[in-house]
Amino acid sequence: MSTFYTASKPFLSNETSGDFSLIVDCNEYYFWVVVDIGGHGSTHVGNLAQKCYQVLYENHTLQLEEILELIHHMKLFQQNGLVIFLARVYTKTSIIEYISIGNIHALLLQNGRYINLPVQEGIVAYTVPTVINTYVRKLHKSDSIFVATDGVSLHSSKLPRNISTPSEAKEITDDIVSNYSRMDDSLCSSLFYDSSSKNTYIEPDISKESYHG
Amino acid sequence: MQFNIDSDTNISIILNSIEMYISSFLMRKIVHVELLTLCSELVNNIYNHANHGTLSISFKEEEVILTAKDHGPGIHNLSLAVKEGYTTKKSLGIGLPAIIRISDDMEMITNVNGLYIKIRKVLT
Repeated sequence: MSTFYTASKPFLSNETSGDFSLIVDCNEYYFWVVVDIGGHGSTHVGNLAQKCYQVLYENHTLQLEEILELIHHMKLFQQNGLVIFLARVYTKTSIIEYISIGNIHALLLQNGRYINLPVQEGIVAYTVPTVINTYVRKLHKSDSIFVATDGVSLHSSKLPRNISTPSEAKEITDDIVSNYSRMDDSLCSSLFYDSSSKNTYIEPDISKESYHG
Repeated sequence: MQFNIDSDTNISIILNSIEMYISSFLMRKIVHVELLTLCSELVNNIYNHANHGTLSISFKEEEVILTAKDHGPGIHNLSLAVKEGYTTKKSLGIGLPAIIRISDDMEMITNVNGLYIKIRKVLT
């Protein structure tokens, strides 16, 4: 059973974080999104997350680049701008497809080795690359992916090289946010991949939509 | 070893050349067949969709790395392309799902300027 898990912490005494993650179940794949809204905290982040979820759910057949284009042109996001990790994790094919724009760090643990997943510079709703790359990677059983906003100092040297259960991945995700936060909103979202399994556990889970921030 | 593919290429000759090159290295029969399948899919993908590109084959100890690059339009609809039997050309549509299944590791970058695929296949 593949497991998505997100841990986060707002900056200082802010009640809400400007970072959020979403998991959207589209049957043949899951959208997995990590967003860092510009600035610290945001009283509107709940609305932004809901809107982002709506865009994904209503346009789930579009290509990732097309979905990014929709988000890029939405006035709602133009006040602060955002950086984003936007991924499809397929349930019947062992791949992850993703676009990543801005200062978001993604690490893949595969066969005991950490791989920095490539990202592109930019700020969505402000300026994005002229040519958007869509990256695809084959996933294997027990691969783990950690995606962190820039409020987290994510270094592979500080992480274990063997993660064999979802609960281990969850613990590490919690530790990353607890121990490696910087002076900013902090969020780390992880995927522990269990082959092409349709059974997926999402935490925290709010029925079909899982927004955590 | 690098093989160039363009619209004037005789695909049969290229694939024969690739088979001769691969056959010069020792490997299990099943791996040999899978490697040829991967190369055939990559070459045909370049020929059918991009008109020009390259396939590099690099043998390293116990693995082989295949790298295909082209300057075609990229993959427009990946979620369809990964479905078994889907094809935009008149073919069996074995393509991308087979590449994913047969490769031991695969990474790909696609954009409007082309497609880059890197595959690792273990020989032992």
